[in-house]
Amino acid sequence: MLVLTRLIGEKLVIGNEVIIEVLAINGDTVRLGISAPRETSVHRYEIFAEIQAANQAASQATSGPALPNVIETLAARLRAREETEDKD
Amino acid sequence: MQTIRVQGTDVAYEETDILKFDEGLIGMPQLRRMALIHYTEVAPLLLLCSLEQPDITFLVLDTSVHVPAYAPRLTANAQKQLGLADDDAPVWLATVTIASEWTASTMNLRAPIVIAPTTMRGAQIVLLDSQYQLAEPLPLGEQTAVGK
Repeated sequence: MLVLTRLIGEKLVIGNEVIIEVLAINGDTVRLGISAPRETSVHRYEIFAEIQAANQAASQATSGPALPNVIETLAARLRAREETEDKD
Repeated sequence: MQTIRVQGTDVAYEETDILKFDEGLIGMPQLRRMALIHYTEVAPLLLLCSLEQPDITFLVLDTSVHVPAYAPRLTANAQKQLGLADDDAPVWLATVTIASEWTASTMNLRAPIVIAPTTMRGAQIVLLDSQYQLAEPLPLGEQTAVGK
């Protein structure tokens, strides 16, 4: 990991387009300003990590010996609900 | 027609089922090409299979059919990235996480997958100001309540 020391008002640049500025430091809290192209997504790491974990859990949807029965049941319930709504 | 192996079975898909994700999925940037497959055995769930990593398959739900109240807003920038024309409607898919107890299975409405059907480009979007969560109950009937 690259470690850099910056003062308030100083900046970092990542690649050619992402600029991060240290705006303020208050106790344990650092306030950062980020300039990035609109197509570059910027998230707090906790949110990124939560979604990554959710994606990893979902990506194994069709693995595991007991799961085909669960998928079959879920699909049947969803189909039944669709049919009920069509009748309504 | 091509096939991909899912649960020990060869599942057929067409070239027209292939979606391109320029940035992959969140935390899984390697997933750039995926096939969205209508597979009768799991319908109305759909299979979203990685073509780069065949061991990765998602089950997804078309929210327009099953969660009609769900209407995320696509930013102009995301719309442009997907190549979505103004008069084209995006398709919002929720990934489904299967639990060993079927009633505990959930869908992700906080970070849905959005697709432009005409360009077959997709992206995973984070809804920052949403009341929806990463693990919402599936719309299975009376015992669950979805559609906030």
